Amino acid sequence: MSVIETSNLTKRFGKTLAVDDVSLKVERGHVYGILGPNGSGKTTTIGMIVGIIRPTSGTFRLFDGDTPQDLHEARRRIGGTLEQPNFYPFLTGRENLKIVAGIKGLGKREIETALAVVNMSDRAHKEFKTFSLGMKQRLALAAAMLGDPELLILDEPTNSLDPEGMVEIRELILKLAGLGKTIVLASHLLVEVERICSHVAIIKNGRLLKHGTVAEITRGDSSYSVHAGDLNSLQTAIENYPGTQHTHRHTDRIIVELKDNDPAALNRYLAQRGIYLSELSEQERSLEDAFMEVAFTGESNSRQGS
Amino acid sequence: MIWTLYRMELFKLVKRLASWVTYLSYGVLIVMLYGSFYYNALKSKFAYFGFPNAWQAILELSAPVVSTFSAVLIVQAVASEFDWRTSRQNIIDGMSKRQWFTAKLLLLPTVAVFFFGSELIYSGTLAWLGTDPEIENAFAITSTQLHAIIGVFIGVLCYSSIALLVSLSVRSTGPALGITLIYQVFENITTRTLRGFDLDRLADWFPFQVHLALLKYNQYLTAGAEAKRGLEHVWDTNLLFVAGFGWIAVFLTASWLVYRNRDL
Ligand SMILES: Nc1ncnc2c1ncn2[C@@H]1O[C@H](COP(=O)(O)OP(=O)(O)OP(=O)(O)O)[C@@H](O)[C@H]1O
Ligand SMILES: [Mg+2]
Repeated sequence: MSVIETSNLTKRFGKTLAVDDVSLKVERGHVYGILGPNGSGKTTTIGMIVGIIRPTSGTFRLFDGDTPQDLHEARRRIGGTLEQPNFYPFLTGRENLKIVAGIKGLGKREIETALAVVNMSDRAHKEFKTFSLGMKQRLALAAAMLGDPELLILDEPTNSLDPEGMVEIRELILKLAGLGKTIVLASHLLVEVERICSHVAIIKNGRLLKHGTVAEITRGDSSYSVHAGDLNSLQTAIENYPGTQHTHRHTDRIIVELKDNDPAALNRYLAQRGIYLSELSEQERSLEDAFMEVAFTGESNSRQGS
Repeated sequence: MIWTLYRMELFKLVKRLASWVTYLSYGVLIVMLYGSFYYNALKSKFAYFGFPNAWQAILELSAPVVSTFSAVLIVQAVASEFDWRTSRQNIIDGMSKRQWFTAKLLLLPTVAVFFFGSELIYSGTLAWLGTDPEIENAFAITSTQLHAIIGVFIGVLCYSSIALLVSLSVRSTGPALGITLIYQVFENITTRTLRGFDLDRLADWFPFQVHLALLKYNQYLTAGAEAKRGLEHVWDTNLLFVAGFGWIAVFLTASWLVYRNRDL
């Protein structure tokens, strides 16, 4: 069952194409990262899903329903934050949650549970405007979790927190993910997405460049690390190999990116030339490498396109 | 659900210092205004502040104050939701746009009743204390007073619905407050120009002119008392009420469309 499914979702603000033809699918139990630099359209995408921004074109479904009534009911199963914690400054933390609970039709017990989860029980009697940013973020998380929703949508939940606060919030999200909740997390922080998410969509300039499991995205699907006794002749041979896209010499090995992703063919080719590899292994990439690569090619594609 | 939403609106209003500052400023003005009448009547043999004469002062003098302060409170309650982005969060939390708008709509009559009501109770009590016991039927309410009460109420709602439209269009408390208060100046300039071209009857139909007409006690005088009027234009009472409700309907519909069709 899909929890969120968008097809060709597009949003234009005047001349700015904030979200461009985004089709993605989030399934139950996914911890889905939306990764992209500032201004890439993460908030706008989420804004459309939570119903505060009207798509220019395209559609989306929540919990497999797409009539206005379905969407309204689906939104009661969703907890979300957008950009920054939005609360009434003159109300206390607890009173603010009372408002949220009122909207969701919940009671006191749920409020206390949510406050306890984010470790705010003893500070919730203070006015929201006196909160530190970390407390505000935590209250936002508590509000999102109120009533134990099936889907949590969090937009940069660790934004402008100190490292300690970031770790704390991430651990909290991981805990929720461990409970089997579906979570959508927008972030421009690679490490965050890498640590927390099972799936990731990379978005830039409003366009969905790549999506899949984090393993799929980070797996070196065409990069290999090779080693042989004589690195110099190995490098020359690899550079002459027609299937080579790109090579990179390290002190002790060579990283080669293959056009056809067929390492066996490379091995055969080298063996025919009397070079026997002592190592041939798939190159692990960090999400950062993947992101840089995808974002870079994405950019050049869109340049060609325009 | 509507009842819950309404209770939440009241909760926010009551918990907020700014609402009380507005209400207290209003209260001080009202207390001074009618207090001075009462005090003068106590001191001077020639001044009288009691029923039935006091009705005009009770219903007309404070009416612009009631409607202005009600409008200010509406702007404070509605526009600030955009400053805090709670207008977004409420929807994310599961409110529909229709529910959000309805909750704000319910504030209009609530605020009007509260402001106008507290003024009536206060000035009415003073006038009751000052009423000469010799006067027969001093406390009887005539159709003029009834119409004037309804008229002020519609007038207050009319200005509040302008405030709602401005708040939802401008989405920022400071500018919305400014525009709501300055609006009448623009309209007065426009209608004065129209009157210069002998287009008085057109000018009379402008919303703020209708609003002002609604607040005029002499508008509602009965046949025998017409000499006291001194108004530029006397409306037929029913037509005036229809005009008032018409503008309220226009502003509320426009408010809903502006709110519904824009991204939050
Ligand atoms: N209300 C708006 N009016 C006009 N342009 C907007 C509006 N909201 C967003 N944009 C533009 O749309 C683009 C995408 O913005 P968005 O906020 O979705 O990006 P983001 O990925 O969330 O960025 P960040 O990481 O900074 O939060 C940006 O170019 C932004 O300037
Ligand atoms: Mg954003």
